[in-house]
Amino acid sequence: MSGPETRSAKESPLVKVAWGLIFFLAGVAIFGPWLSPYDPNLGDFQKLLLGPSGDHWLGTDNLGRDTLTRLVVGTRVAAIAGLEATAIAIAVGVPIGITVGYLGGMIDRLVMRVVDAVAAIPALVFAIAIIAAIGTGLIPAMLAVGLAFSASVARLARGLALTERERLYVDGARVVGVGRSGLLLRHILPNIGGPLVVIATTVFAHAIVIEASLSFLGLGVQIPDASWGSMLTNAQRVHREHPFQSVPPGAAIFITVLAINIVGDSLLRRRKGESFDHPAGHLEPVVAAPKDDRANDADARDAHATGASNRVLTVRSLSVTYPETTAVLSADFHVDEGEVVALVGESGSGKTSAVMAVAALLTPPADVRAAELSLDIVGGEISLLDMDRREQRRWRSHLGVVFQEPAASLNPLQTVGRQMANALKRVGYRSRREISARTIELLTAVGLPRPDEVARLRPDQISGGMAQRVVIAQALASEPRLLIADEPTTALDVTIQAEIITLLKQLGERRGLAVLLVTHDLGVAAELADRTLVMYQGRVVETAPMAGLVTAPQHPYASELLLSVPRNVGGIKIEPMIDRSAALAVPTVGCVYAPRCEHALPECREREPELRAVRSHGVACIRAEDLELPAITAGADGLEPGGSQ
Amino acid sequence: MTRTVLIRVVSLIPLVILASFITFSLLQLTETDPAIVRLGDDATEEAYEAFREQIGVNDPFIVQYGRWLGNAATGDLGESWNGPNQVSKLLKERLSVTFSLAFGGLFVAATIGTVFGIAAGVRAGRATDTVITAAASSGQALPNFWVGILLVAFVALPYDVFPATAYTGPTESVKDWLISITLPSIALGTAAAAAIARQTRAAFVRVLHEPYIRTALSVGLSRRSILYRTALRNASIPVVTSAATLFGTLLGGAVVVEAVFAYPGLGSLVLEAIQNGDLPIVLGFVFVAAVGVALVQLTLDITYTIIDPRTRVA
Ligand code: SF4
Repeated sequence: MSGPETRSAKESPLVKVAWGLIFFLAGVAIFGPWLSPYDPNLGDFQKLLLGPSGDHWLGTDNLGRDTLTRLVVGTRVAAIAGLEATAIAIAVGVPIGITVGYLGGMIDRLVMRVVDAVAAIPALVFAIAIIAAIGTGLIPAMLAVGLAFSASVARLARGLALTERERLYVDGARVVGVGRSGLLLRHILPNIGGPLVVIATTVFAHAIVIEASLSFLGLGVQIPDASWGSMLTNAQRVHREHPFQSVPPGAAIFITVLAINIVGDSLLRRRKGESFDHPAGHLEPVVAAPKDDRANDADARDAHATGASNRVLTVRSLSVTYPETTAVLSADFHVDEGEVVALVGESGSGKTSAVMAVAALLTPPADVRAAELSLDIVGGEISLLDMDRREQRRWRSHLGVVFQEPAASLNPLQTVGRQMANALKRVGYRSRREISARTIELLTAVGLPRPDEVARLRPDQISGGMAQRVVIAQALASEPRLLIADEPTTALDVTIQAEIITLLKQLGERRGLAVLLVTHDLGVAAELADRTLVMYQGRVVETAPMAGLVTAPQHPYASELLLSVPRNVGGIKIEPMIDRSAALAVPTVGCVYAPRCEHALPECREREPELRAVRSHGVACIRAEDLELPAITAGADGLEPGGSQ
Repeated sequence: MTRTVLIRVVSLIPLVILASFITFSLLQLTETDPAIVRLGDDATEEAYEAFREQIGVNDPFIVQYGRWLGNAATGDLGESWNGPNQVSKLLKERLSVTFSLAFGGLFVAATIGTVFGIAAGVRAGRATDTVITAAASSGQALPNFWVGILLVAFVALPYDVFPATAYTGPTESVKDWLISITLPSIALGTAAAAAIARQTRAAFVRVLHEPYIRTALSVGLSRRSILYRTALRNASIPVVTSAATLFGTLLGGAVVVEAVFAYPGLGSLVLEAIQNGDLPIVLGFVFVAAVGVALVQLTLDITYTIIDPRTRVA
């Protein structure tokens, strides 16, 4: 039910500043040492430990050397350190990772054990060991850091190579005759760039800190040469009297690392594409706002008055919009007690957005507006509009929701029983006996054999079909009047699908539940629904009793949808031939279906047709009266669930 | 459960052995002659040779390593080249300092990091979150030893509460020990706390986007219960998983931070050993660090199987 991806294309100003800083520091590292007026290693003994002044912007150190000049030289050292370590980590890690990932088998396992072992030694400790073996100095120190980090680079490269290998295997590209190594390079290298840049920034930042640490310990850059670390060693000697001495070099490390981290984070965010602009996720759903819709108010009151007295849900002029798209536009529907209403349409038609808006479960940046969104409950009518979050909980307690992905809809860490108990406690069950008795009752009601055993299992220990039954049982915990089922069978095997459909049907009949069903599968709708709303591009284009829709669709899209369901006619399976590949732009004026409609006339593109009564259907097509649309002659029974798509 | 723990123990042993083998091999690159380290420049060639023979460096590499590993299994890490001292004994004297700091740092990092991480996570997208996230991003860039230097210069020296250089062992006085490791632990833990806070927050946000949170909301669970039961436990998994690596970083950092405070830990021992070319000490040091990380890893693995029952071996 994800809304359209809203990725902030613009970088935040902070990231720009960080980039600017990195370029500046790079400039300092390259040109700085030539530009500074002082010799970094030559002190003036007349000027020891001066504070900042016009001559010495950051003062002088304990040997009278200019702090800024040494800082600038230190920048070059840090840059060299970072580059060397990163280059080594990549040069060593990438070939190893790709090779073993691609070869697999024994070699892979063996090499990865070594990589794990290297990773088990802290990078700094590993660096100290290498320095002990080959000597102190900037170059050996960074060789050490590079090798230490090559382990994590190798892991990354291996992971990518493995994925790529799987893919190639599936594509059968290996049989085309391209040599293994050729494949390796051609397919893996382009994909590894992105992740590699991200990891490179991490290595770079770590290398700078470790270089400073090692130089501080006297294992890296050697005295009298300047490095941020060795400057801190000097500063520490006098920090009782001159605490300021330790500020500039430390601040230099801090700022540099911070800038690299910020850039690294932004690269990571861009790569992963998970911007999480609304970090509270499902926790803070949007509040539906009232829509000023006086024009329709009169009709609406009529409709409501003439409507059945057992009305459960009334939705009038519901719109759901996202910053760049309209998911639902002015949809009207209602569900009566014991009635099953299906919303059908292809993916992206807005059907899920519509029902999730009713369930008050849509998350920002969705914007929900409606003229009316109300539930008739025992003791009156409640309206979702403008409800605050606390009241929304009450609203939700009157409806149960069943989701598309049963396995993902359950908390992976809790047993079924615990999750049932949580739901039951919420609706007033207190004692443990009551709770477990009710749990067993509900699990039995959704057709789970041995409910007591199921209650002790975790979601990963039960099948998808069972998980969906558990989700349904949870939804029934509050004894709702309305059950919303969003593609309840899509993620399940065909045989399981039929069982779940039967279950929903039984629940509707036995408990007098009103059911609002969303499905792309007309077969499922035909099995379950009394009434159907066909949605296309956020609009309800036809509404009719299920049987009427199947035998005599009035809207060209409804007809197309019907014909797209594979079905058995006299034992022969007829596969639909519909080209959905063409990505059609939604027109801003006129009928939204016009670009795909065989019957479109010039008038169709002028203004948007409204839903109106035609042969007792509601149809949004100007040509409804004069079109003879093909239907399924066999009637609703000719449709089978699970067939389409 | 016991089985799960056993399997983890068994899988960590080869890792530690392999780590020691890699280090042992690396140290073979050295050009340092142990005989000169021990006997100085002016001994006779016979004396040198006799010493080399005695400590076994003339044996084939694999024999040397086998002997070292065999002894290491019994807790004997060989003899220092520089003097007739047992490496295990030298390390043991210093171990407490470095590990005190590393664990102190981990404690600071874990408490501060999770508290702020959770605070940001539960208020994700609001002002608290923004402030904490910004502070954590900056904090992560603070080099631990610089924080240490600043703490010494601006806290320990001006005020007479924390010692700037005197380490007290836990066996002497627990109170003084705690006081003496406070500042170094803060120095070490700051960046790590920032890392944990960010990780916790990120894990929270990821969990809040999971479908089961929506289900919890739809069955009417309260915000509190969703945040502190469902989300917290699920979010803690990635954080716990990565804490062992963090401990490794802290252990490395402890070596540097103890130098700032001039504490007599493994760092100063190893620095001296490097100056003297006393490689058995370096090898012992790496080994001890790897074992330390592996033990922490084991503890976390066990914690992890408690949090996430899916990882238990049936
Ligand atoms: S209004 Fe025109 S374009 Fe739209 S469905 Fe009817 S015939 Fe087709």
